[in-house]
Amino acid sequence: MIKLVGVGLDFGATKALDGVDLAVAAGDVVAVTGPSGCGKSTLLHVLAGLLRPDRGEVSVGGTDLTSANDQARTRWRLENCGFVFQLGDLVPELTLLDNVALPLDGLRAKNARERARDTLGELGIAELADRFPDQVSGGQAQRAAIARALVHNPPLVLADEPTGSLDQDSGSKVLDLLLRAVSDRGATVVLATHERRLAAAAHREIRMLDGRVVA
Amino acid sequence: MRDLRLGWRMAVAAGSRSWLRLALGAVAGLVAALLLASAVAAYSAINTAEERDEARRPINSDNGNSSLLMAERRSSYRGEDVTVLPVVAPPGSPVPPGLAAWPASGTIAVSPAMASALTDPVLRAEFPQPVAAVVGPEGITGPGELLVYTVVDPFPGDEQSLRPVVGFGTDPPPGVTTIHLGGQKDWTDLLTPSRILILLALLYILLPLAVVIATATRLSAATRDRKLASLRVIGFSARRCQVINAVETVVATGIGAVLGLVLFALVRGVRDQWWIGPVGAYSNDLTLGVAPVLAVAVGVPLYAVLVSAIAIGSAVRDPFRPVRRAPVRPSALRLVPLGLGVAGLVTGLVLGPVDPSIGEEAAWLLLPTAGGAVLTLVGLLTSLPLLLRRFGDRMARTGSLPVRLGGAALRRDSVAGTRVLAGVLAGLCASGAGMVLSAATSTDGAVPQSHIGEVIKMSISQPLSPAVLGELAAIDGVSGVARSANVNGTTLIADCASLRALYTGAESCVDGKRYVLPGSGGAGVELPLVNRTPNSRDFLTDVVTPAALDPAEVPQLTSTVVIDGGVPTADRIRAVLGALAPAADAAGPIIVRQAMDTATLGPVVTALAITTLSLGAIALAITTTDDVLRRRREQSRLRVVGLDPGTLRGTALVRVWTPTLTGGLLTTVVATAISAALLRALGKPLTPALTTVAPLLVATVLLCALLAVPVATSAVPPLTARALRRE
Repeated sequence: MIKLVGVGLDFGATKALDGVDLAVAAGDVVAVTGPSGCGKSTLLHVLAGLLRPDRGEVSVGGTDLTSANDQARTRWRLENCGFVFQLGDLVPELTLLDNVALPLDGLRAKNARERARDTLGELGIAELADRFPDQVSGGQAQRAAIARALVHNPPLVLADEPTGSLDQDSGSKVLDLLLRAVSDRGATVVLATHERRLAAAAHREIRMLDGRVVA
Repeated sequence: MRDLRLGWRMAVAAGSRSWLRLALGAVAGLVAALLLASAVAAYSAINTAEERDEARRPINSDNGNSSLLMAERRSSYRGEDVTVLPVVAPPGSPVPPGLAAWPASGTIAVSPAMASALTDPVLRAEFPQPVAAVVGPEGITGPGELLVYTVVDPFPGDEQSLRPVVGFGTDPPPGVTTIHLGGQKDWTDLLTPSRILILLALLYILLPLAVVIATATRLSAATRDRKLASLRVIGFSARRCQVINAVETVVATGIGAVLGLVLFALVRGVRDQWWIGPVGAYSNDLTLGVAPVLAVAVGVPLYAVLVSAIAIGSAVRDPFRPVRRAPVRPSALRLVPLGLGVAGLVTGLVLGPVDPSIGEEAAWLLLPTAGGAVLTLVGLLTSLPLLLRRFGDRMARTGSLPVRLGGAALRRDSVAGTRVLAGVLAGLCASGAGMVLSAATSTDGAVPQSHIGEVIKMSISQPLSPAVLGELAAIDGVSGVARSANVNGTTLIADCASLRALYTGAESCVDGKRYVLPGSGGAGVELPLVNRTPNSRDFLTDVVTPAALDPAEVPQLTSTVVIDGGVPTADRIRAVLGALAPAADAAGPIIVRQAMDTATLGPVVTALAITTLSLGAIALAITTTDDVLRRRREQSRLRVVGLDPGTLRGTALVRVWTPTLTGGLLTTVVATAISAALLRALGKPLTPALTTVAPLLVATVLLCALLAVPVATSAVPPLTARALRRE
C-alpha cells in the first residue's frame, strides 16, 4: 500500500526527513512515534501528498506521489486519503454535517448529506449533525473530524495526534471509534503519536528520531 | 456549483467572527460604491455643466442678421469669479438658455447665486441696476455661479469689444459663417484638470479600499488560514478554495455595493444642490446611467475578489505552513521597493526642477520622481511588516520583561494589523504630499486660479513687430505675449519674458547670449538665447553656436499670444490682427495650456485624506478589536503564570507603541522625502516639506500613540473565575 524509498526533506538547514524507507501493507494500522520535532507530522504530510520530498520516492496505493504535480496530488488526496488533525480543524462556519460531507465531491448534495449523517451516526454523534464546531465539545468535534476522514471510504487514513487534545476517557473512546471504523472499511492507517496507549493499539510501531526511522 | 454553495454558506454562517467579517466586507463595499458613484456622478455633473456652458455660448458672426451685441468682462467677489456680460438687445434678439426674454434696458438678469450675493451692499454698489430676471438652471453652469447680464443701450464703454451675436450654442443658424477659432478637438481636450482629479480620486480610493477588504479577508487570519488549509488537506484544489473565498467576498461586498448605491440615491436627493467644484452642482446633474451603476455594482465585488485572492494566496498555495502553525517570515526582498523608491526620489532631487509644459521630455524627467514616490509608498507597505518583525526579534532578546514580551509578541504577530497600519500610513503619506503640493501651487502666480483652469495659446506664424505685440498685450483677457522659435521641434529659443508667458515654472530663467534670427524683411530679429532655465538647459546645448546651424535648420520665429479670457478674447485678437497685420496667420489650432487647478486640488486632496484616514480608522479599529479579543486570553494565561497587571500593561503598550512609532517615523521620513522631491521637481522651495509635513505627521503619530493607551490597557483583563475556567 505504502512504499517510501530513501525519502528526504529539508526545511532550510534542518533535515525534517532523512533517508526514510518504509513499507506498509494494505489494512495495516501503523503508529509513528518519537519525540516532538522528530519528523512524524512531516512524514504524514508527505504520505498525504501535501509535501513533495526533496529526495527519494513515495508511492501510495500504486500512485507515484513524487512525480505527480500539485493538481494530481490534490485530486488523489480527495479520493484516496482521509486526514485527522490533532485539533480536528473543522470549518467553523459549517455544521458538523456539512463538514463531514466536504470530501463527498462526486455525490449529489442530498446523497452526500445522507451518507455524512450515517457516518456521524456510526461515530455516535448523529444528533449533533446540525451544530457548529464551536457548539460541541472537543471530543465530539474530534469524532466529527474522524467521520470527515472516513466518510468517502478512503483506502488510507492519516491521523496526526488524533487524541492529543482530549482527556484520557474521550481519547480512548475516539481511538476505539477510529480503529473500529477503519477496521470495518479495511483501510490502512498511519497514526502519528507520542502516546504509548495509542501506539500499543496499532498493529505495528515505527520509531523516529531526527528525521530517520530508527526502529 | 457545490463550491458556490459552500462559499455562500460560509459567508452567511452564524458566529460573531463571521458576522463581523460579513459586516466589514459590506462596509467596505458600501463605502467603495458610495465613493465611486459620487465620483462618477461628479464627472457626469461636470459634463452637464460644460454642456450648459456650450449651450449658452454666444455665436459671433459678422454676416448674420442680428442686432444683438454682446461683450464679456470679468469681475470678482470674495475671491469668486463674476462673469459680467453687457448686452445691447433690441426686440427680437436671440435669447440665451435660462431667460425667457431679455429684460428692459437698464436692468440686469442674474444667476440665483448672484441674486443672493447682491444683498451685500459692496456688490450692490457695483451692480446698482434693478434685477429684472433670474437666470434659470439651464443657463448657468452650477448653482454657485455668479453671472450677470447687464442690458444696456447704448453701450457705455469701448464699443469695439461688442460682438454681434446670431445665436447661442455650438450650431450657428443656417447661412451664417462664424469666426470661431478652432482646431479639431482631440482626446486631450477632454483631460481638463477637474476630470483628471476625479480620475485620480478614483484610483486613489482603491488603495484604502484594498486595505479594508484585505482586513476583512484576513480577519482572524490564523483561524481562516487553518480553515483553508484543512480544505486543501481534504483534497480541495487551490482554485476551489479561491472560488469559495471569492463567493464569501462577493456576498459581503456585493451587499455593501448595492447598499452604497441605494445610499447614494437617497443622500443625493436630500439637498437640491451640492458643493462640488467652485460653482457647485444641482442634485439632478449628479446622475448615474445604467452602465455606471452596473459597473460599480459589479466592479466593487470583483475588485474585492482580486484583493482577497491576493491576501489569501499564500495560505492557499502553501497549506502546510498554517497547519504547522509556522510563523510567516517576511523576506528581505520586501525592502526592494523602498530602496528603488528612495533611489528614484534622490535621482529626481539631483535632476532638479522640471517644467511640465515643455512636452514629452518633461514626462521622462519627471519619471524618477513620480516613480520614486509610488515605489516609496508601496515600499512602506511592504517593508513595515519586515521591520517590525526584525524589531520584535531584537526586543525579545533584550531589555525589561515588558519589552521582551512585547517584542516576542510582535515577532509572531499576525501580519493583518501591520498591513492595515502600513496602509493607513501610506494613505497619510500620499495625502501629506498632496497637501504640500496644493499649498505650494496655490501661491504660484503662474498657475491659473480660475476654475476652468485653462489658458489659450494662439500661435501666429509670422514674427510680429513689438508695436503689434504691444497692442495685443493691451487687449483685455490677454495675459502675455511671446516670441519664440523652435529648432527641430524640441529646442526652444526665447527670452525669459516670453518663456514666463508661455510656461509655468520658468521663474529662474536667466537670459544668455543674444541670437539673431532671420526676420521676414531680411533685417533680422534679435533675441537673447536662454542659457539656463530650470529644465531646458540640456536641450539648448545644440544651438549655443548659431553659426553651426544648417540654413535649412534656421528656425522660424513665431509669435504667441497667451489668453486667459477664453474664446471670445481669441476672436477679438483675430479681428485686431486682421486690421494691424493682415499677413499674419492666426488660424492654427488653439493650444490649451492646462495647469493644476488649485481651487479644486485643495478640497479634493483634503477629501481623499479624510477618506483614507476614515477607511483606515475603520480597518484599524476592527483589526485592533479582533487582536485585543485574542490577546485577552493570552494575557489571562500570563496572569495565571504570575505576571502582575503592570507588567502586562507595559507589554501591551510595547506591542501597540512599537508599530505605531516605527511606522510613524518611517511615514514622516517617507512623506517628507516625497514632498521634497515633488517640490524640487516643481522648482519650489523645500521649506513646506520640513515645516508642514514633518511636524503634522509627528503630531499625528504622537496622537495615535496616545489613543493607543486605553486600547492597550483594555487588553489586560481582570483575573476572574470565568477567565480561569475558560483557560
